[in-house]
Amino acid sequence: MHKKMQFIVLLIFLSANTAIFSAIDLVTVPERSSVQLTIYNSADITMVSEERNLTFKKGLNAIQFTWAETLIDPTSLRISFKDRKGSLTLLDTVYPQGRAALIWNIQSDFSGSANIEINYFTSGISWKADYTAIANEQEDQLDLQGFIRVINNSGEDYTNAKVRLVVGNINLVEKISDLANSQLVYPKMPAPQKARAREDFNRYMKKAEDAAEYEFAGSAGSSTPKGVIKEGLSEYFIFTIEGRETIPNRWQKQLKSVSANSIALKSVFKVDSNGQKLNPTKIFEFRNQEDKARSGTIQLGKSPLPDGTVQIFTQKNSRLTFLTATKTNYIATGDKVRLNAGIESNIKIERSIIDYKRTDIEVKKRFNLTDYVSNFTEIFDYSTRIENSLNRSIELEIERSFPENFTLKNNSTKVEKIGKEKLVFYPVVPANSTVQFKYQIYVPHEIER
Amino acid sequence: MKMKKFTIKFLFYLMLFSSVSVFPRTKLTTLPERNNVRIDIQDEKYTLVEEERKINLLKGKNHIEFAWANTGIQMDSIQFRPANQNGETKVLNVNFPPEGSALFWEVYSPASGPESFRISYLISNLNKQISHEARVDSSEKFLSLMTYYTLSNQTGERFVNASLESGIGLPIKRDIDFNESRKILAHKTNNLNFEKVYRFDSEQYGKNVRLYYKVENKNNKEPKPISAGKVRIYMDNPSGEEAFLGEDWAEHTAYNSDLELFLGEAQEVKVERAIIQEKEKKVKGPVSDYARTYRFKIENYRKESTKLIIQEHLSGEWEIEEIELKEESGERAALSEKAISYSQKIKVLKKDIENLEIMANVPVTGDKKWNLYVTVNMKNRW
Repeated sequence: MHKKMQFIVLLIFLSANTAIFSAIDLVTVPERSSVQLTIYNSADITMVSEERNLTFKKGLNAIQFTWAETLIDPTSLRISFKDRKGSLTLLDTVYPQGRAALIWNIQSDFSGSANIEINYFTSGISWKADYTAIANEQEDQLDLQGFIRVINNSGEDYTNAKVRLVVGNINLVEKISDLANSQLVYPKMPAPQKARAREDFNRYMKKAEDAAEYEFAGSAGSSTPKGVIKEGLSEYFIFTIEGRETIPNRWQKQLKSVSANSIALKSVFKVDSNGQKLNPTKIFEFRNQEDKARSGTIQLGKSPLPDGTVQIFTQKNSRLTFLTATKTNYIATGDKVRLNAGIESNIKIERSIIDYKRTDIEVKKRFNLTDYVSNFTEIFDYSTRIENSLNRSIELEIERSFPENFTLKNNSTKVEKIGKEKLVFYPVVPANSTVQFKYQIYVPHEIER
Repeated sequence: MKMKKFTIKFLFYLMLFSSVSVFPRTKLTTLPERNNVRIDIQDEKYTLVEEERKINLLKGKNHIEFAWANTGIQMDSIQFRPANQNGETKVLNVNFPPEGSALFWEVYSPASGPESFRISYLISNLNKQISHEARVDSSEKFLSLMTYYTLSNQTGERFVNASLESGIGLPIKRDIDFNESRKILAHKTNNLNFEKVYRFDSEQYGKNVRLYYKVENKNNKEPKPISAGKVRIYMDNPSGEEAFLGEDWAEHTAYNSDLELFLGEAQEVKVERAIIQEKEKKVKGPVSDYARTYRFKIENYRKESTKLIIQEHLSGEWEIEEIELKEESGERAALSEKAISYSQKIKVLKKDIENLEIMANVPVTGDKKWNLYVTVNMKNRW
């Protein structure tokens, strides 16, 4: 594994009076002393902060940084001094033509070492959330495990990195990968827009950095899965992976972020189309909330659940049966999770219009004395038959759309109106039985002559 | 048969971490065999393989590698968990190297010794196809249904003594070799009740009457749904010969519901349909009712009375106004019709606003045909 990034210190000794280079001397290629990755999943952007210890000579020091074959955004590179701040001054930054490199010219008032920090954005590092949900046979309890997978395709190996993950959407005006792949001509790049976006981003990052470090109870050795420590800031949430991780280029690493057993689960069966004969979709419902009776740092309700893919299984005698894989949206702390657990073929729904009438027909005359129908009302008699072959009672959500100005009559099923055109019925069907519910829909019409 | 090499490799490296967290040299220790494999083919689209392996763990951190080159394992579906979930042995993380088709887990064990793990994954190219064989006795009263599934293994992997769970019958243990197909009897249900139903629907199927078997999925011994799949229907003749009656696709049929199988067009039951009259009756202004009369000439040349269902498709507001059943005899100049009571023989019902259904129990046609007149009032049209 070779590093694509190179870090060369050129020490340039300038005589005090003449601006003549007396010597150009390559002194060190210092290793990173620490590195931190802050990875966004909403955009292909990662902020890298690395610390290095550099040896300075008194006078002008030229420090070269190169990044060939990486996805670093060259417009984002910054250097700052962690100690001896007053004695080190960045005079200028030089971008040699046609090369993925820059040189920082730093004036040092002393000879000796100092810690510096280099910050930049890179693309190619991402993270995603994966979940495994295992329901019991009766589908009233759920075990949920959440994982976070960090994917490094940045072209650079990151060893012993502190990894932080940002959940939330940020605004970027340009893709980092575009910036990384463009021929660097830095002076041509800055546009006021770009600068604003960078400023915004830096502000968010600053907030993230300032957020208090979460105290991880009972600090774990190698015996426990690494905790993913979660903290909120503004509209964002930062997950910090406990300890340090090594993620070589092109590797992926998955860590556990959430684990909760026997969560109260509700299965509801949903129909959201107007089809006549159909099977409902099974929805698994539970809340992202803390269970006071339990302890532990990686249970539900401690943080939002980032959007990701959920593999859903049922378990019978500790054996798994696959139900489906589904995407979940971001779930805020306390919010309800609804997972699409696939089609339930043991429940059949048949809907029909069993009768139809036109009433209150009014006839008027046009100016030319011919007759026309000016008003009438349509009455539709709907019937829904639900056949439940499961050996447990079920709750359903059956949606149906109607013409905009409809009125519901003679209904005995619990119902909710959603929008101008939609009703959702909430019938309950006992185990192994069939029920039929009926209602009428009135639709008045008024016709222009 | 040539033995295929195992392509799913389950290596594990045991890495004991010293307290100062220095990686010692990685050591390949054993290649454990699968202790148990089960293949869950209940889902129509996905096949789940769950296997149990016993791994000798060292106290501390262990490095367990799993590789599946040239198999159809879906990487994101891989689950790995200790069989005994007492929470002491923990999977710390999963690492995916760049080459794909491999990963390693870091597992912490509180003590040295063997530990069973369950690994499950979805695998493609292990396909299941359900088919049924229906057998009817010569009296056409009872039907036995045999449900088979055909497994075809293109996964690149060989499964030995795998427990196959189809969700249809009990799990069955079989070997399934690479590139092998196997048709397995999953379930047999004897003596299902069924009846022959003749259907006439000119709009949907044209002039011919169609024959169906209406099978009641009701057998108190084994309450099971009938899975969707092709059904081939055979009859055992008293002579001992077997006749193939036809085939159809079965829908998934829940327990306690009926499955209708289309066998073919019936030659001995005939229906001739005509609209013989449409009378307008003014309601008001431009609004009228229209009384439309259908005539169905019905003939049954089978040896017994026959259950016939006639379907008409309508729309808008309508109601059944009049039903009349007449017996027709003679031909040409001698043709005559005589009204008879229909209440015991015919039921006409408005199934929903699009379907008028006529159910008739048609006697054997001798020298008298049935003429059924149904008048439908199509109301408030303009």
